[in-house]
Amino acid sequence: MNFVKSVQRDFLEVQLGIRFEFVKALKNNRLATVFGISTLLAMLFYLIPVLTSSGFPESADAYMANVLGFVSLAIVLFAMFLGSDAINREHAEVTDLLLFPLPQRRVNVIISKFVGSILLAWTSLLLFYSLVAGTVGIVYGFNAIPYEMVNSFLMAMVYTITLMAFAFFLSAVLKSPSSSLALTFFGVQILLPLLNLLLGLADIDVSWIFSNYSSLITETMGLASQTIGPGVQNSGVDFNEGLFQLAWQATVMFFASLLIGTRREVGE
Amino acid sequence: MSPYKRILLLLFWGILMIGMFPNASSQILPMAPAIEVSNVVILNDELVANETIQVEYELENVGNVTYTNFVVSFQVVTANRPGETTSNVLARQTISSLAAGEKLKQVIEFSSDAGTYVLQVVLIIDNIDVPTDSSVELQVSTAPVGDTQSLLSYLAIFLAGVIGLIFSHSFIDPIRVLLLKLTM
Repeated sequence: MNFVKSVQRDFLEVQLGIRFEFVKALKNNRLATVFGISTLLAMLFYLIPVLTSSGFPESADAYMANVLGFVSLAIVLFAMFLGSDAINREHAEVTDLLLFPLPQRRVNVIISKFVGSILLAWTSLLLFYSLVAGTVGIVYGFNAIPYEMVNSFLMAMVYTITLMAFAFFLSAVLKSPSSSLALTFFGVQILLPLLNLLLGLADIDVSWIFSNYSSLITETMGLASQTIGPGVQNSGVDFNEGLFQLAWQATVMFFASLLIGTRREVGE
Repeated sequence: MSPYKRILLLLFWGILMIGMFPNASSQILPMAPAIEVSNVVILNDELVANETIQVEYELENVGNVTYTNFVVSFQVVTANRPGETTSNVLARQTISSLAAGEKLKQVIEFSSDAGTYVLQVVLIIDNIDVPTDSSVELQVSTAPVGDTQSLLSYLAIFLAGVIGLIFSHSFIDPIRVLLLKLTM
């Protein structure tokens, strides 16, 4: 009977934690920020041709290749705003002391933060993809919206989990919220691609660098992963290997953040 | 004339002859064959990389000579991809015979990498390339990678993992207490 009560308590704590994360994101304008980023990035390629009368790309595929090329950037920003200071800010602002008068399992606190952040990021992604589908429908006709867009959305959801785990890991390892915030963005956007380039030049295996698999978001639609320059250029990464790499790295990084986060002294 | 000058003169003439030879050979070509290529049409609705592309074309012998065992070649003449050469041959088809005045409809099959190509039809008669006016543009897209089922399975495993993680806490604690009691 204790076991059942314990499970019920755990689920109640996680549920409350997720709701708390939603309310917190709403109050401190982070939800508005990520929704704003989604809207801006999704509408940019629609509004610029409309405002400047420069015309849209010839095909819906070319349009979507341009817009969806920005999904990975959007996900990095979601991870930065929603996850990169999730653990260390509680310590930095000493809000973790609230656990004394309102006892909760610390594991549940971190799990609910992680799940809450992912759900918010997924909602923002849904907004992004809905806007892209809407603009494709307006410009090229609703028949031009391909089914593969669902795959791209699902792949973006998968990539979000890994990136959020990376943000949580940095948040657990680094004491300062601002440093984990900056490192989440620059790590994924600059350091990992640089490392990829250098190791690639030295002929060292780079399949473990998870940021390489962001290209699968567009490649699941059969679109170019790189829209700079003419023609179709693909990264050549394997889908199944990508899923495997993203899965194990998300698991390791999340468990590491869970271990470090729960072991840190309260009020430290 | 000194021997050095003779060698230099010989070299000069040699280089000149080698340089002129391809031009000279093209000028002694026989008359262009009286075969017309027309109605080059791509039959696929959508062109995907490394999948079969079917192109239909028509040949018509407008002359009075029967041609035998000549080759119809589809060659990339321009490509939007950097580093692409202009002599890439994507497909070849041998036509056994085309009698004077005869009209022939052919389908040629090949596959291609992703990219945008302009293919020109080239007739190869007696091993001599004769480019025609007929060309076709190909826009080959990459094949989508991955499938919905794998992605949904991944997300289902993630959800199960999270639920399992919350669940496991309540599961592990009693075992830990039991082990503690047993060891004490």
